[in-house]
Amino acid sequence: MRYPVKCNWISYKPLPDGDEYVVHNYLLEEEYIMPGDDIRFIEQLDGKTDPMEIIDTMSRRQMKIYLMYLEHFDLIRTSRFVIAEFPTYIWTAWVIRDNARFRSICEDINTLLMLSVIPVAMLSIVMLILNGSIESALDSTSLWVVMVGFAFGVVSGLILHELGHAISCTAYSGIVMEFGLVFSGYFGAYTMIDTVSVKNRIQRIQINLAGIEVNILLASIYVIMFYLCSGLRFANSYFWVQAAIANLSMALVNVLMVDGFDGMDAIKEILGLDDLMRSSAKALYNKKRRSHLLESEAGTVKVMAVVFIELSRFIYPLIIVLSVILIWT
Amino acid sequence: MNKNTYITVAMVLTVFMASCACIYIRMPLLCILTLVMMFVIVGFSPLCHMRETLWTFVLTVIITLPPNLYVSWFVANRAYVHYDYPTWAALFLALVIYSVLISIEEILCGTISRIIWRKQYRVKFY
Repeated sequence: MRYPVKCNWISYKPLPDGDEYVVHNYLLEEEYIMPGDDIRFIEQLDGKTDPMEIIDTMSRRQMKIYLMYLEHFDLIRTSRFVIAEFPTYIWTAWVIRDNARFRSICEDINTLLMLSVIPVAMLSIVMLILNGSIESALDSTSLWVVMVGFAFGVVSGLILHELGHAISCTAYSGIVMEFGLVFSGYFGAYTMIDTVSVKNRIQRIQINLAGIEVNILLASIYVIMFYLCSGLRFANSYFWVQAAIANLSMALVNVLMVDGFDGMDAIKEILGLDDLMRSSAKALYNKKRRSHLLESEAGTVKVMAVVFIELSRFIYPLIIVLSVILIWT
Repeated sequence: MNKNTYITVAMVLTVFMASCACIYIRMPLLCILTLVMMFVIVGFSPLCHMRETLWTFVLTVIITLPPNLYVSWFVANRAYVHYDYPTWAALFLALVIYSVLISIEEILCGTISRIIWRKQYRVKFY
């Protein structure tokens, strides 16, 4: 990147009076007001144009200070590698440029994903049942095959999981800002999407579940690969078993109703609970409101639903932490 | 409580007992039928009108309790007997399986109910 470029994770709209804009920062989930001149300037930054050509009245030094000021507000970036919030680093791999052809391809991939996930999973289960247990295969596997296979499964699962969200969101005319890798003491992938423009709730549910579907599909494909490679001498088929286990684990963990996981996002969409924390506070922790809710059947059901979600939110993270401890010990 | 409430509660209890019966005869797959019955109750009960998704969410927890407990217990027992898991690890495994199963069922049933009943009241807490 030779010159600064506008960040993909900001959106802005003009205020009704005055030359000012409300900027929404999707990376830090913040909103602030910026002058219209700044917004018009950053709109012209494409990484190829020298900022001095856009504003020729400034000296180099003044421009440097101005660019630092814009960078401070996360409006521009000079590198693909960005510190989101210390110690979280993100690396932009792909900025998705939306056009009709790309959207059409995404629609096809999304439809294929939805239609293929159950048949392929069923096929892998049938193969598992017909060909017997894989336990003996796991016992005789060497450690390096386990590690490499699992690492391959995790990396492919992480990247394709996030791509699944991005493709599904593009297919339903949502906003996909960018896709990349994240480093925060661990390795991960991310996709920045905004589903506000997707009006259909079923489509929004599919966007949330696309990642899980991809992981299940990958796990099933890896199981099939295990059986296809089992007759080949040069290919270590147990590699695929580890990759399948990694993807299945990712799918099962992601399906849990825990904050920030796809399962919880899907449940919020299904129930239409936009602000779960506020709903819980109203239904459970406000005694007067709770007793008012419990007077009617509909209110009772609402309270029961929130109690279950709240229990899930506290118990499931505990289960995940204990699972990790159990696996490591 | 009015007459509709009593009828709905009675029907839900019947389905729950049917779910228990499926487990008693050791056929957990039959519980899929009880889920279908749950959708029928939710669809026909005036109490659930325009709140079908919310009712499905709550009833799924109740109706899938027997099969989920059965499957969790089955796997934990197998791990304890055949793979020499310690008791605490087997119990923990059962908890993990139960959580995953209930989450999957909630998402599946919720999505199906949203597909069947598109128009729903907003869930408001006031």
